[in-house]
Amino acid sequence: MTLSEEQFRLLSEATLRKTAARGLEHARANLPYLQKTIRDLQAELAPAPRRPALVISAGPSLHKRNSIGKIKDRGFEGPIVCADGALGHCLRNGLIPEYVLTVDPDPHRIIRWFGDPRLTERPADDYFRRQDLDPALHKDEERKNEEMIALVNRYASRIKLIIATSSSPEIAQRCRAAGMELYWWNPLYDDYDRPDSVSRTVFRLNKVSCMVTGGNVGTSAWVFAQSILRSAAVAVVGMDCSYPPGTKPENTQYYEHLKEIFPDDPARGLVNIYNPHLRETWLTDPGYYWYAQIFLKLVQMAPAPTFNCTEGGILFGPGIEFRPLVEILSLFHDGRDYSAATRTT
Amino acid sequence: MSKLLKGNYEIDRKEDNETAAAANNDFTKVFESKALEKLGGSIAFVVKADQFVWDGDDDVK
Repeated sequence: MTLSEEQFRLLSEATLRKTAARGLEHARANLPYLQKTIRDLQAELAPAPRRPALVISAGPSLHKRNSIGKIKDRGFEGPIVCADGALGHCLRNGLIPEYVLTVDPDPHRIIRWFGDPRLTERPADDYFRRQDLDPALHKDEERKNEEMIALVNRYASRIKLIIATSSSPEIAQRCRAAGMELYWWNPLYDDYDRPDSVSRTVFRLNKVSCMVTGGNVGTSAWVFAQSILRSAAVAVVGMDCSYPPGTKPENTQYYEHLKEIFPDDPARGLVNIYNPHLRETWLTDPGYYWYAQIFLKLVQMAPAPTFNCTEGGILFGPGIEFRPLVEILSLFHDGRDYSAATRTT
Repeated sequence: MSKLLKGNYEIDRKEDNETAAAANNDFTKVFESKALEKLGGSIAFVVKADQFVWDGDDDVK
């Protein structure tokens, strides 16, 4: 099964309606903090040779497959690019990413990934408790938040924040105060040739380059590795776009909304996808499925090969090499020809 | 609405066919609902002219 073009378009338009106004509002509020952009970073990196990059997303396989342990055991010398939601898991397990991406314009939730100094003032929200993004947040949220504040403060000077102008200004304030270096980008919201294009409006406001997002921060991190870092190859971990076999529907991200559509059985809004590489069936929802379909489109445009080393999930198809993480870390370590390692899947 | 969904493999067994059809119908209902807006992604997505980064073309000048 795949999304039809009409369904793909409907989800894209719904997400634009959901995020554009807030993103534009935040872009205005972030103006005082704009200094360097992703193009400045690219210029700073220009003399360096192209290397493979590792993108760490926050899907449940990140902890279920012990991806960070494998990276530390085998070693990896290239740039590590991390989605904001995976930062806590990386730091708690002794891995400091060189780059962290953030893009979601939610005004209250996302700052939690950096340690939220105002956590007790936020609206009640069980988003983090219900999901498998970072199980450390499932209990004793306030203590875990204090730990995260301390971890980010300790390692911030070694992390570059690749921050979208759509992000809450509180994230810019928090990460600057902690000592991170910030590099800005605009999300490419819509077709810049459309009348009243949001992308063109935000570009005229701040003159910051617009980057394709992929609809979520993990894919944005992969786009960054492909386009700004100009990586020789990109391996991704924690990019499940789905829930592991056996996940309860109430532990999926859109459960409350699916209840509105299917009051008697919200699970009817979820879909089972068989992964032939794993010989397992994973559960996905319309949003996650949209992410996977987008990634399959984008990978066709990518200049460098992509290896999915998640060892879980539903992200497979033409242009994506679904491989064990240790195998690809060895390939990168040995410096062999990455394109020769790809095969049609 | 079934024309909106494209299958990409053949299913052999009749009962599997019926299960898949029911799943497709349910999924289609999601796209017909008012809740669709709440089900979207973290941030808007579009891609144009096979470009990952747009630097504003004429707006730069």
